[in-house]
Amino acid sequence: MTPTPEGLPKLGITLFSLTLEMRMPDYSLEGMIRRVAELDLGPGLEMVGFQSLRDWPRITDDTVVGLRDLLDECELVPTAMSMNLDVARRRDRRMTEEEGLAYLEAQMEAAHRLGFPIGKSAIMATRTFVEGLARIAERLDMKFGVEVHSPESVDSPHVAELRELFDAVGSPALGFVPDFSSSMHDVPPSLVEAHRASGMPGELIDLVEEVWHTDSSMPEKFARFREEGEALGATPGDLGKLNMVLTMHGRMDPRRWEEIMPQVVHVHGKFYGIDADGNEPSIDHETIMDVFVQAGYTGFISSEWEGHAYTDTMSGYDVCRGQHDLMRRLLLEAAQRRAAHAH
Amino acid sequence: MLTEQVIGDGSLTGRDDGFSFDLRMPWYRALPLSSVEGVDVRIDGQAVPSEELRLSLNGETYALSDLPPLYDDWWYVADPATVWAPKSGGLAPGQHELDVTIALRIPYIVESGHPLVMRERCVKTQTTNGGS
Repeated sequence: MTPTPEGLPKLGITLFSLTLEMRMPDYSLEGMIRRVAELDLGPGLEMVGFQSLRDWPRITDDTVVGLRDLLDECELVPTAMSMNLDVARRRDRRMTEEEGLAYLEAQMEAAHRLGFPIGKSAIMATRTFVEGLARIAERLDMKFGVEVHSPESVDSPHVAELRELFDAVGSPALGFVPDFSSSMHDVPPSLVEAHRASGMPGELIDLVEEVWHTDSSMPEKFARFREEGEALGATPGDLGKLNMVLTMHGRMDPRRWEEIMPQVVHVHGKFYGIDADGNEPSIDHETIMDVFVQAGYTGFISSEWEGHAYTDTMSGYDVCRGQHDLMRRLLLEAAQRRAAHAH
Repeated sequence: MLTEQVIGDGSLTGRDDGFSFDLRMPWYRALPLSSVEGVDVRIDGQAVPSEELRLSLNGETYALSDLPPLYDDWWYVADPATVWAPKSGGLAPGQHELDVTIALRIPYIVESGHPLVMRERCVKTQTTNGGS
């Protein structure tokens, strides 16, 4: 593995980027991890427990020993384990706080056995839950991060509530996981192409892009898109698909990540494609890398390609390789700026 | 993209009392069996009553009505479920259009008090395998 220089953010991948590769007939977790290492997509390795590990979180000792040995051999470092809080897994009622904490505790323990230092999941925004989670993470000497993902931003109501709760509880084990999806400047061109290729009417795609670029609130955007979309003859199915454009991609100024950097425990380098010039056309990686470097962040950024949700024309391995090259170059440039500024 | 894989390629198998096929999960992670809110199957345009479908997974066979309480039994993302659909007169060898819609509750995404339910439809024309 080729690490980034000391004092800079470290790079890695989440195997979620390889969701379609996981469906190939010759798939094995071991083969996938070896390929990640061959392509130098580490040193950080993140996975989704419920995706990559059968019977998660009830994993066997053989699984634990096998995965630890494999990561060592491949010179990969376990970073964050993505977990889920399945609050609606019962049909008759929602999970209680106590059940939710037990659900995440089992996943934190499994992650700990595998050597992952960080867990991440959505959580319940209550004092009891946050205190319970802090106790679990502290007992295991781990950190726990809540993702800030579109449509959330650093000051959206849910995140603001969590920031207050984290401040009140004051545990160093709790923090955030910024996801680049919150801070985009365009709808991904690959998504627009995929909608066009699927036969979605062009005027509806143009409309959703136009609405996306406005400064109005999310409910206002949904309402305007529905009203003007229906006038253009959009079906409920069309509206449902294109509403995802509004929810999955946020327009926060990337500089605003500064506001939570002291509490950042891990980062999701969400992206949708790399163009012919090696850039990500919808996410300002240069500004984001600059924010991280200026803030002195030295944790991991996982490449998280989500284009597989709408296209199978790209290899997850190849696009992640492209994003690694981009991020490495921008991190080094930001470090030079930081050094020049210090002198 | 996972939607196009809901019907396993080359999995349609005819018998003299019905047919079976592989049902693959259109989501990226394992879900509890209680997440399967519905499966609709049409063969050559003809609907199979959902209460007659049987779904086999992890060595067990279920009716759809068996699934709601099974919130601690898991459908692993890499495992196809085998769906059995009875059809009087069976399924003749040859090409058939199979039209499947699965409704999956996503138990960790709750919006405005309601869990997200994904409805994914996959239509494929397949030639039956052997049969018996």
